[in-house]
Amino acid sequence: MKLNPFTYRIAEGKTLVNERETDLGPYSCIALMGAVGSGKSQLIKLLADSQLRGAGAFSEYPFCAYLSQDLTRLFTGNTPEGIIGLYRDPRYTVGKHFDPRLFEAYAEKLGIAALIGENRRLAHYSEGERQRLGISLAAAVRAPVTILDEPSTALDMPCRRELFSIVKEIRRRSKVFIISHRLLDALAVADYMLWMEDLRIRDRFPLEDIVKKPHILSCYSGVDGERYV
Amino acid sequence: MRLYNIRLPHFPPSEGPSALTLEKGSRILLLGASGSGKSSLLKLIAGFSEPASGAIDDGGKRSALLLQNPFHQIIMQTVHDELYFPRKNAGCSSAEAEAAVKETAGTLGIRHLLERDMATLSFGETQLVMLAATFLTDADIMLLDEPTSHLDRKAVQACYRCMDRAAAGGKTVLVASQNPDEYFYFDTVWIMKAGAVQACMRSEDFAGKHAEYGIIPDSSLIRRRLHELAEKAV
Repeated sequence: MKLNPFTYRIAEGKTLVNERETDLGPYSCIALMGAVGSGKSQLIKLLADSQLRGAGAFSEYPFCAYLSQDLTRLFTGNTPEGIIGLYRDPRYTVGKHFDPRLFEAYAEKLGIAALIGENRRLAHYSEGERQRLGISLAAAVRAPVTILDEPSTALDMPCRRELFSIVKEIRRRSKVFIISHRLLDALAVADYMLWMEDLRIRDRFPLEDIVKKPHILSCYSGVDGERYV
Repeated sequence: MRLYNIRLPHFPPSEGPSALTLEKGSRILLLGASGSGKSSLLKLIAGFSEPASGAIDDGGKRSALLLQNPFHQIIMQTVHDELYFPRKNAGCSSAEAEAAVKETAGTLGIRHLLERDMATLSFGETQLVMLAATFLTDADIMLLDEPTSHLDRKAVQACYRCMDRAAAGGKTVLVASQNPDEYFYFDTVWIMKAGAVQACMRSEDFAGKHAEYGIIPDSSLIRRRLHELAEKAV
């Protein structure tokens, strides 16, 4: 898969730009990082949303498993059984790729199997519980591309460690794109980084090169002189 | 405001400090595992629900709550109106309200968004706007549920600058978070487990004690991983 040079007009005075071609082929997990409003979620929508293929941002558009940033909109009016039923439905594309046994294994790992068994309405789930359900569902879709938009939101460290182990597993069978504001997420699972600023991809490099990018590291706490535990 | 032996519904009884005080001008960080009841506690203090046992003495104080998902509390069309409304609602004149909107938007670095439609904002931008709207209310207690979860470092610092200013003005700020690395912005740390606050300490005491409560900050793991990558690069 290649990221093409492109311009995509989001709204009046707001245009997403990539100046040069990048071959993402050799990489299994690509971290999309950058400040608030730098265009991370917008860029990934150009890959995930079939209606935006006209922008020509990517060289190919395989089926994507997608964990959205805002799960509440998706989930609130339903029960786990209802949502899982949708994922299993063979009339939908996702139903052809969904692996229920993988889902059960991931739900168990993330500590929500018992909760799902109760089949309570998702409106009563905490944000972290909803996030863990969303991750289990998206990770159980056997798709050539898996997109995780801020998957570590509302998760504590034990849950994040399970998330990292799940991502390491799926990146063996699927190209993973992960968006996050937390440097540790990228360091734990990614092998390539796209760095965004002001709706542009400003930098791109294999992850180990991050140690040579002080201007990027300085955008995160926990790596320099700032006080921390 | 004081909380006495508060226990949330659906949780077993547990040990912990019998009374907690939300002092005027204090900045409190609420930490706890996913599902420990942080959001439920904030909603309870805000008056949206009742405790299973215990009591709250609000001392006539009013609170404002920033929800974990900021999309749930948008009421206006544009960013400007979203920020202007809480000031007008607090009884300010139009000129005073405009000045307050500009100032808070400036502190949080969102002045360039003022004319935008709320529906065109990213998650992080929405979080900043709703944070500003919360600080622009005239509530005495600001309850912020993971306000920095979708923010970059510059925006996190701006958020806590706003918090410091509110605290200096006599407001109480209680922040639920999954990020223990941010502890030093606060005066006090509360640790929540299984539906109750189990420990309460000064933030400088928390620094040496986080491991006791099973809390692992990102920074310790980041440094280890960067070291590994640096060796690989050589």
